Amino acid sequence: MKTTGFQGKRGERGRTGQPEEQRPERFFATIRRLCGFLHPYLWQLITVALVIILTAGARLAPPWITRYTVDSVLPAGRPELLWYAGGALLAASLLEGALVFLNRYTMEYVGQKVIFELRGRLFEHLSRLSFSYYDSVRTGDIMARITSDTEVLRRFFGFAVINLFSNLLVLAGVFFAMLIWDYRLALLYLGLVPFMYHAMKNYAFKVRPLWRVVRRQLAGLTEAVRETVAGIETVKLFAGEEAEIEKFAAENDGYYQSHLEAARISAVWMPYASFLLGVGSALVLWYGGRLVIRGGLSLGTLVGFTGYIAMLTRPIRQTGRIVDLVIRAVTSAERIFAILDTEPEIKDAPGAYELPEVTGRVEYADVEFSYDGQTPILKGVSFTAEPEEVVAIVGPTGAGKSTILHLLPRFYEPTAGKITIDGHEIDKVTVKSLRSKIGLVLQDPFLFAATIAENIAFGKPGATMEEIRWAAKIAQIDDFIESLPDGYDTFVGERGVRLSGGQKQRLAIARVLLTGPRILLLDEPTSSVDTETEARLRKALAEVVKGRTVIVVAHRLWTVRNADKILVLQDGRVVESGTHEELLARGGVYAGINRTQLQTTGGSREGEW
Amino acid sequence: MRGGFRHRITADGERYKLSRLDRKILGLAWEYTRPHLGRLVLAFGAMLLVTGTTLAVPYLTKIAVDDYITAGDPGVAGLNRIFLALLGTQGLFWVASYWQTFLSERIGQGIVYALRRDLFRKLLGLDMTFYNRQSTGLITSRVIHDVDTVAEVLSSGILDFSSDLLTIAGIVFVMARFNLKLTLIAFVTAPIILVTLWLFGQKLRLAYREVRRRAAELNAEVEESVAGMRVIQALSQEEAGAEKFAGVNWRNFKARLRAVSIFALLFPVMNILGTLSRALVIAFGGLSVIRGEISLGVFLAFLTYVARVFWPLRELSQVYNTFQAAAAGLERIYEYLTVTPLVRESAQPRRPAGGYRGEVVFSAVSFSYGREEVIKDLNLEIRAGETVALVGQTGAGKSTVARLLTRMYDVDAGSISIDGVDLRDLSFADLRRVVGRVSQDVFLFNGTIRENIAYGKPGATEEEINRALAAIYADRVFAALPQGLETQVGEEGVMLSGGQRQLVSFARVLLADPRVLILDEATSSMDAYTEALIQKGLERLLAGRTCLIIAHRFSTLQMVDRICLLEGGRITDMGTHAELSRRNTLYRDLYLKQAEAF
Repeated sequence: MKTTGFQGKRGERGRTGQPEEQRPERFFATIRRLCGFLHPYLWQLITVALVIILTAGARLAPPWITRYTVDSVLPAGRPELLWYAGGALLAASLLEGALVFLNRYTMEYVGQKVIFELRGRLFEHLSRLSFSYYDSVRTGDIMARITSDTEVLRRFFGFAVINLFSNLLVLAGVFFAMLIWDYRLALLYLGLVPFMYHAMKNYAFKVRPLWRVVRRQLAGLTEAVRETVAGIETVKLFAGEEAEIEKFAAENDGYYQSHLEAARISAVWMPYASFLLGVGSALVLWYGGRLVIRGGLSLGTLVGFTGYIAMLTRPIRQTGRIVDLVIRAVTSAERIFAILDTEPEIKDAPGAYELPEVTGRVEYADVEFSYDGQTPILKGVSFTAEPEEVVAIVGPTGAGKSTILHLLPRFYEPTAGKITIDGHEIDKVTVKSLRSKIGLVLQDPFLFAATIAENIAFGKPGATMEEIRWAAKIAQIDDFIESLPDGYDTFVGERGVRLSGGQKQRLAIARVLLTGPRILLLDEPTSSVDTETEARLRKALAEVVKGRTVIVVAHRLWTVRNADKILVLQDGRVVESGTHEELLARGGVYAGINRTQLQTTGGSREGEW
Repeated sequence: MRGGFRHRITADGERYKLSRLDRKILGLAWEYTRPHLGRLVLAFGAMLLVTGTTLAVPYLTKIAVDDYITAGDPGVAGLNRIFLALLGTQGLFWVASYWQTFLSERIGQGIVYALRRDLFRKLLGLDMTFYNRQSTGLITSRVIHDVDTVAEVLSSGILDFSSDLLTIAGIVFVMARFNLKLTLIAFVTAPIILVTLWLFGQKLRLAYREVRRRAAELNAEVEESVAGMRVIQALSQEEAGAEKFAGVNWRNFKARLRAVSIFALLFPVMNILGTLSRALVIAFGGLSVIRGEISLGVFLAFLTYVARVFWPLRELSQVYNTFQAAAAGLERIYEYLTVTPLVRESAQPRRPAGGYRGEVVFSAVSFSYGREEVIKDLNLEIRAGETVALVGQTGAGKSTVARLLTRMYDVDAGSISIDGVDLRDLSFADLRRVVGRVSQDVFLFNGTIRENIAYGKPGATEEEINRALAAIYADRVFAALPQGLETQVGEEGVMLSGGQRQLVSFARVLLADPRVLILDEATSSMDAYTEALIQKGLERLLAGRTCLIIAHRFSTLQMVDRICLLEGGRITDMGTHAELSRRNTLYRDLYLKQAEAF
């Protein structure tokens, strides 16, 4: 049991995410699906394809001009033709430049546009997925999929497709030029092809994947630094400095080793394409030179051919890179499709109708629920909340108190049983109309990086300043907000003021109040707040329950005592219900909990329980 | 490996002036490069070979054309020799290329390794004053990115720079020896190329800065939306969210497209300028061939050389930026390496004569974080084994007292001593062993629950861990988890509830077994049930230790010997609960407010 155990975990995490052995049919299915995204850009693609062919032609022209110069112009001694040759060269280059720019821009445009739309679709889809989805994923993971995975796809669409085609075209074009000039040289070129293939394969499958491993190692190293710095106080308190240094040294060493290994192998193979083509040129010069000496070949052809060979370094290296990019794009695409293919669990039922105005009578009948389909959380919960009643739910951690709240706005679906509001079954009405009647204050209120006013108005974007103030006043946060230098325009979140738990809670209450819900669901935070805040929260609570049906998961004794009805939840069932006094008199579970609380506080009542 | 434009243009150090580099900072670079001097010389040699072989090929080709191919029949033997020479050149190129790349990576990574090692060690020796000023992201970025940038320039950067210069010089030299006039004509475009590259570089830099800004904006939007998705759904704001995202997404798209359009233009422009040189060589060189001023071989060699001069030129135009970024990074690293920690371990640590019993004395302690004095002339004596509570309003300085006692900061005036020895005279190892602290913000490391508990005592046995857990009644809580103590806690413990995190931190401290224990709002994020559970364990935890409790909840105060009321950084009253509620109005106020509803 040493602390070095941590590092193993990091290493393991680093290795996952490596593309598993791809089954070919799935690989190509993904590619097909990816290409489906290009469908709206069909005419752009066709233009690009035609332009690429033209570009390849322009690219093949210079050696041809050189050949013409050497064979026809120089021996004939006609200087005026030289100007044509130079002009032709420039013209070819201008043409190529214009075409390349056009193509690059178009394809980047298409790539960016596809990603733009894909991101939009991803985002909209994500906002339709239910709470159970968010229970199972990490924010960082989803972020990576929307940002970096789409980035890989952008390079796939904007770079890979076009360059793969144009590189292969150049490789083929050189062969045809040779065939026209001299079949022997064409054969020689064909002899080079297996080597070029070998080089591409090396770049794609040997060199580039190695650097991917290095990048992952670097991510692990970065995380090691980040974690130590974030937890520096803990490290110091436990005198963990040496252990952290050791841990870091291991990561540092691992990165060093893998980087050097990658460097060694890529140092061997990176110059390979140049070497190969250098040897190719030597061969051509040697064999072609003999042919020229014997008069079987013109010098211009020989020179032109060496010109062609010198052109090939880039296509070979780039093609290797593109193959690697395609493999990565498939992995990224699969991660993105995994989100898009997740069916939203909560949808409007066919024939769903708008939930009309309600009085707020909520009824749970034999409701069962399980997060994973195996461990039941709720095993038949039944209760009724009459209009304008305050119902408090109490019980030990993990009893499923918050779950009961989350079922009402359909953030999760019960596995059995029925929930109704004024007799309307909640899965028969539209989700939107259902949620508009319900306000939920989460246990850990999330505030957006925006001003306080914007945060309060979040649920009702067009709210006036008066409305916002009104909500803040009821939530007992108005005077605090006014005490800030920027008042309602104060920024909250990472860049703004830091709010205490109690302040956040009251802002969240104000936010919900503004939407004017008939039914209020409140999940009280467990953490303690100072006495001042405590008193504030009570006042706020007393205000907001007026004229609404309120179901509250209660951690504060005060809340419980002031409820019209208390439900004691244990092992997924309501074991007792009634008012505070009734339950105390009954001498059951509730009374028992109360007694232990009183005991530990030595007879005096305390603020929370 | 050489980076293209994108890699070289980084945000950091864009505005850095190279002239700011002073000798001390360069000394730092030298210090880390010196151990690799031998390798650097070898790499330099390899680089010379690579440059030489690259230059030799057109030269050999020229000889083949002029002396053998155009000369006719007797040339075959010569052609064979040239062929062998070319093969040899290529072989040499591959080998030298390997050594140049490998050695420069070896040097670079050696520097990276050493710099990171030293930076990390240095960081761990710095105190909280430093960490309060610098964000985690910033520190991480220096250890990772700045080090990379600096090392890259110190190894491959210098080599590439020399290689580019040599290649250009070599090409110009060889060409000039063949024909000076034609050389001048061919390079007439060179200044235009440099200026164009520089202009494009400026534009690209601005465009990519905008791209980075927009990308960061997009990331922030995604992060916030995903983290706040429950709120968005609870308030039915899915459409408004999507609309806002669409805006950010669109701005990102536009910025990208703009950068791409500049980048897409750069390549053809470079190509055209390069071709202009070749066209000039064809026209004027061809003329010279016809006039018999140069041979055909020279003409062909010129064509090849002109094509080869462009890559180095392109690289050179970015050299300033590269060195600028590296210098800025180097200065930041230097800054970190030379920070003097305010809290330092004593050179001659002392120990109390009678061993550690746990008597704590604050005498006339003052402390301020910045200008504002948080603790003012605080006096407090805690006897060994005594339990003392510190109460007061938010901002009274309670947690600061806890931090001072753990020497996260040093006092500005006065002194704190344990068993008669000033904290500043204790060795760090002793101090950490003697004083333990559980606070409301629990930091857990990404690992299992067991590993986190064992952090309190590296090498703790199974039995010790179980005993610690049982003592605070946490054994059953964790046994109920499917994976028990092997449960992964996730990054900073996100997979556990607040209460569970706190239990882990209790067990961790119990395992460390300190004589002096500080509980700083330690039960604040537990729910009532867990807290009730731990109360009993708490009594056991406190037995035989000196304990300082900082608490909101008055329930915790039942078991203390003394309560100190902290007001505006000093202790204004002290006594038992009964005494204080009788005589102190502020205390009664604090207490009653919490109990008023009953």
